[in-house]
Amino acid sequence: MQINIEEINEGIGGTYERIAYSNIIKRLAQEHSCRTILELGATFIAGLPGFNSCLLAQDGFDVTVTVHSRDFSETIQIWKKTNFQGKSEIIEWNDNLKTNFSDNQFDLVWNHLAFEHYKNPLPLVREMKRISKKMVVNLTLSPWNIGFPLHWFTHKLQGKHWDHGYFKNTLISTMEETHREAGLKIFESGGCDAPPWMDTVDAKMGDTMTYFDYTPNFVKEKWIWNSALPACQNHWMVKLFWDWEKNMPEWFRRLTAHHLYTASLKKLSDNSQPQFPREPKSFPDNPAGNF
Amino acid sequence: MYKMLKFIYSYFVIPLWIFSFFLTTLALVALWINAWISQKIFKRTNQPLFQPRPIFPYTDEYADKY
Repeated sequence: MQINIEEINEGIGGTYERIAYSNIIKRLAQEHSCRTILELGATFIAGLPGFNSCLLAQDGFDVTVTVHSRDFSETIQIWKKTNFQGKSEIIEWNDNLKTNFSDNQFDLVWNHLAFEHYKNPLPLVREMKRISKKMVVNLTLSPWNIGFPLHWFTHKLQGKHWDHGYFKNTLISTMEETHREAGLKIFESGGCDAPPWMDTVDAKMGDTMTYFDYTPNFVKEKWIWNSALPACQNHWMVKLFWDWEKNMPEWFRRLTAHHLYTASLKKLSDNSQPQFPREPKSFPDNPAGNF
Repeated sequence: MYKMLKFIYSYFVIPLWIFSFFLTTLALVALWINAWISQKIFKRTNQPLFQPRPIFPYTDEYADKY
């Protein structure tokens, strides 16, 4: 199948999500001089396989991504179509708890929507800590966003197996406790991806997650969103919602965000003291980071 | 002064966010109804670029041990 990057439509939700969490990762990486980044266990987000690290690669970080065999060939197809400035390597790997990477191989190791899928996420965090030189970041699906209980109810109503992980493990408190148990020094926790719409999680509307697919062509063809395209990154809506998100009170961000995260360091240096009560120091001004 | 203005703006964002949330929820409901009518009445189908699948493809091999 031939794919052009301009044809890949994530919808505004998928685009904003990728921009929002990439901004957090980029800021953390910049603050701690991280250049090499590993996404351990890429997931299928916003209808795209293995594309979570695309903005990090676009901004020049050296990115390595491990992808499950199920998604590997399609992930390769999408990444080939992009023209990112950083080095990127996509590796087929099915076990997040045991990898062939050497100790301290990457500056920063992260993943998105993986932590809560493990009954005991400690082995995952331990492996992330082993291969990370400086920082470990986990992002989970927030249970506080109104879309979460609605999606849970939909699963119940349709008799579908709940495949979004353990509730307890979606919480910041669990992430912090696990990081502490793994011997990491918690640096920052918070919410991210807080646009003014509910998280539809992976709810499909007529078999599609891009909800304008059933609108007339003159609407559908104008409503194409892809986080890797500068036109989408600089769209006034993305800029406005990011401005709201970075300026809203931390309690409101945690309440409305689609994702929660905890970032920890292997060692606390003098210039990286944790804040109390571990709230994000600052957010990048530009929606796409531009570091 | 700057800190005070920033603090005021941070709380000014909340009603804006709630109002926008209300509008986008209405839009989602409208799009859902539109998709339902297109499928059920006009028998339209849609083929996504990538086949929908669960977000997380990995297995938790230690799940039984805890």
